[in-house]
Amino acid sequence: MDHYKLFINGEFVEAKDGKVFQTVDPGNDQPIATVAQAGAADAEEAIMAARRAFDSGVWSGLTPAARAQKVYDFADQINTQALRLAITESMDAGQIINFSKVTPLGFGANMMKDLANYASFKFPWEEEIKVQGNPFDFGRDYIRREPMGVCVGIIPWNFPMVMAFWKIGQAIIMGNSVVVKPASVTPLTALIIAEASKIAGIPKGVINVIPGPGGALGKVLCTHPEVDKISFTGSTEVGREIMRMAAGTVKKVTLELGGKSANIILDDADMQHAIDGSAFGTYFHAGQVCESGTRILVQSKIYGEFIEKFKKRAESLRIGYQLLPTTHMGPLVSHEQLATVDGYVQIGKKEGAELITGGKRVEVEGIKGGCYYAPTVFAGVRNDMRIAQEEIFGPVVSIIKFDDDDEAVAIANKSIYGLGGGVFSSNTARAEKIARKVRTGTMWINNYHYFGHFCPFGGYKQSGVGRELGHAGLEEYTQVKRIHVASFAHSESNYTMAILSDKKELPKYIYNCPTKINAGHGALSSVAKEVVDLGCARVLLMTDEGIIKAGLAKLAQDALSDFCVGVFDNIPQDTDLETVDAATEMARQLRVDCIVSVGGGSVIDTAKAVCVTLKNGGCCNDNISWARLHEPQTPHIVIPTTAGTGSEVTWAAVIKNKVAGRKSYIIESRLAPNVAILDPRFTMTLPPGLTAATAMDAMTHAVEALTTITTNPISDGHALHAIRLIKENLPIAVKDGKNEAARLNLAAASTMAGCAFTISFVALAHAMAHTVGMLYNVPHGVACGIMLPKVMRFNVDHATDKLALIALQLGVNTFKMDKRQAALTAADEIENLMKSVGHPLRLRDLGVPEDGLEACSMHAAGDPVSLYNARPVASPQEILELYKQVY
Amino acid sequence: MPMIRLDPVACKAIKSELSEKGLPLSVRIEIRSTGCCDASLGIAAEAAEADDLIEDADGLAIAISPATRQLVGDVSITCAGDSDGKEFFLESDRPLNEWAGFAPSSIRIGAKT
Ligand SMILES: NC(=O)c1ccc[n+]([C@@H]2O[C@H](COP(=O)([O-])OP(=O)(O)OC[C@H]3O[C@@H](n4cnc5c(N)ncnc54)[C@H](O)[C@@H]3O)[C@@H](O)[C@H]2O)c1
Repeated sequence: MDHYKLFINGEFVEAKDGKVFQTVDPGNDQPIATVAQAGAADAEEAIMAARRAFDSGVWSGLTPAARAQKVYDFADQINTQALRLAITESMDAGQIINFSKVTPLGFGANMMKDLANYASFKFPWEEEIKVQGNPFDFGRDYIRREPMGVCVGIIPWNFPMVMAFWKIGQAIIMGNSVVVKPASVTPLTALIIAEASKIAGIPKGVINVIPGPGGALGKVLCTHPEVDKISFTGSTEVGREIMRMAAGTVKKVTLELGGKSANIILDDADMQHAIDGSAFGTYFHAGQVCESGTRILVQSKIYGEFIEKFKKRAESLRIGYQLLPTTHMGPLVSHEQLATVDGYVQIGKKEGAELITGGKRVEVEGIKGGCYYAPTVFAGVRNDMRIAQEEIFGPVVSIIKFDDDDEAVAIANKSIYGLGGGVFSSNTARAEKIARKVRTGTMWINNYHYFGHFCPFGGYKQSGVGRELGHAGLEEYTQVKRIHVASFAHSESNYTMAILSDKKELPKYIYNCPTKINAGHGALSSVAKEVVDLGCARVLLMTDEGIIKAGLAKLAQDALSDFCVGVFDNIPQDTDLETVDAATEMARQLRVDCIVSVGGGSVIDTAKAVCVTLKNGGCCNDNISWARLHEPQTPHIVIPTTAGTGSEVTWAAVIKNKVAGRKSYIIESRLAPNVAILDPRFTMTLPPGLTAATAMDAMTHAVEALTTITTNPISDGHALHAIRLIKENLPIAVKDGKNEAARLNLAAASTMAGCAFTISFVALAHAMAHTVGMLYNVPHGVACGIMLPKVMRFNVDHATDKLALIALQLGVNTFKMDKRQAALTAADEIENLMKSVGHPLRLRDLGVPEDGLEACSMHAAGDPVSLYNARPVASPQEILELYKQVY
Repeated sequence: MPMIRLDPVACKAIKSELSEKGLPLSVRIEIRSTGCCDASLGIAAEAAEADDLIEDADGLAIAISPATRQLVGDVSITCAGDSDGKEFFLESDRPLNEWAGFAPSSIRIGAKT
């Protein structure tokens, strides 16, 4: 009789305590080999050999491509041993030779080659994280997938060779070392595979195979601190305990456990195919397959016919010795399994199911002994019977009747398991509908037991955790490491670290204002050339009613000539999600490739949101994001008609969410329009009130950009000059709207202030303005202007230098003043400017009720921009005081 | 030698669970499959079958079918340490398979108790 030894650290060795056991052919009860029986000491040695191999890097340190070359050699050795493997597997596990003969090549060598090739060419070992999802700090982030370490593979007796290929193959392809414990009744083929690996030159200790008793070895393998991962295939009861044991040292666990899968036969199925498929789905390998379709659900219309034909098919199966090529069904694996199966058949009878064939042991002619059982069919089964709920793991099928598709799904799902399942139907759409609703890991349509190296296998519910095979299976043998490299190696520039510091200003800055600016009288004419330069040809012109009335939309449309394929003008002041969605829909229908927006902030922001929604899909609400985009968006050209928001250059779009009752912000550097055309003719039609209000919006951008915690010298330059231009030109433009020079200067000021605040942010005045705008519809620029001087005074001791500089820009002679005094005069000067142009100064004049101020202060305190204020905002009470000052 | 060796702590735990559920004080040892390969011994809150072998342990009737008895021999039952008396280890003279006694199981409440 052959004798097999343990395979530890690249050597075949006897067990330390010299124990040996016999393995038996279940087809004739004859012993076929003696095998060294591993004990705890052998398990310890195997684990440590695997550990040393892993830590040495002899395998784990190779590149995936270098490992693949060795795995190909291993696969070739498996092919060389194919016949020996096939015959041994059949004798040891009772598998029919017609299956075991294709296993070494089909499920062994090919699987190893395919997955090793995938691991070396396609598996994402390293992946850049293009968008981190952290808008505060910057850096490079990437993912590395690394091997787990020492993996334990515990394999069952139903497919010992296939399972050994799976556990060994996936583990080593991904760079791990592995200790495999085959089932005690079927230990041989895993040891032959180990031999093949040795001949192929897989380094010592990378693969270890230790047959031995599950109970005793299981405890060592599942609790050993040097084991990193356990992959177990077997019963749910044992799997549950393995998970518990693994919890002690928090090992990663994947479990492939039991199943009681439903194979659903619809009334439109091809009857012969359904009969053959169901027979294959349940009687392949005598039903000792965890994903077998052992509950056959048959639609009532065809139930009678199905039962009659299925009985005949079951009875036609040829039972015999597994090595005969004429055998359809061989023995069960052991006499204990035979007793278990027969026990369930007795239970089924007692439960009242109708035994229509089988239900007994079978003697095979010419053989004494053997564990043969007849293909057994129970009809009239209720899904709550034990034979429909517990996995019998033998050639026993329960047929259950159903009326409609929903009932079939409900029955299929009424199980603690969810491993496999099938649908037979001539209507693929109907079958897919059902397949999607069954809560299970695999559903086959008009097929069964179909596996593929790239198709993941695993269970829902109590059928398991994790997946084997395919990308998902390989991933289970790696862990994910994220590596972050900070873009600014400086603690004071780190927004998050600043939490532990009293110094709130951030010295770092990234200046990114990518918008091309065409400015001057007649600049509009450049629009067509810009469309061409952007590689576009189909423009949607976006505007609003006021702009149409002012005749400005027509000017733009004419300048665009044939490029303009549509006009969307239904944009309200302070735009909203619905407006963006309607415009996007129109753009999609017109197959637009460029947006030209002509209007104030409301139009520009709508257009910006359309650009991202067009590019990324879905509706506007899907695209409300902060620092999520990393690709260019739909090209966008802006012709601003107000000189206030700076939206023509900013990264922001403000969109009302009416359901939530708040404004949503898209904040993305990719939102900055491609081109801004500042043509003074487009602001000349602005009435004086709007001219003042929008200019105060720009003024607030500039002042706040100078006084946030993220302020920087480049944006300071833009902001300071914007303040000077507004101070000098606003009174002229209000008095004489047609003054082109003043209009152009205000447009430039607005754009510069936009550049400044898009980098340095805005602060408390904006937080307060957003709130009264949202709750009481106070126009944005007006609200900003009203709040600004009060917030400047609030910040006087935290932004003294900057406020004093602002005073200078506003024309104040600060020569004889101390810094603080000068800073305070800046606020006075802003108030004087507003008075001179008739800008409102009090909230009470704008429809804000006094008793609403408290709620406003709470909202404003929660507005994120208040975080950037020079003076930290301690409480809503402080904000309430400011609101009261301007009431 | 009793056919079923029932640890007193386990006996108390089984009886208290049956009483909690208002069930008669009788259980059966069964062979139960929890899927994929190895079946195991378990306890079911079920009345004895006609030809069962029955043993009394401190007021608890424990039944086992002659076929199961023949297959596994005498059975011992202990309480699983951290299960609050809800799970039990069953071991037998002739282990059902290599995993026998590895994992605890709870009492199955049978349909016809
Ligand atoms: N994205 C940003 O960076 C940013 C910055 C600040 C404000 N905003 C947003 O911008 C919006 C406010 O924009 P706005 O102040 O430019 O006003 P607006 O776009 O809401 O326009 C106000 C009104 O003025 C009319 N109008 C505009 N230009 C005109 C012209 N030249 N002649 C005659 N009428 C004209 C419009 O038809 C409209 O009725 C708010 O929703 C605000 O939240 C956005």
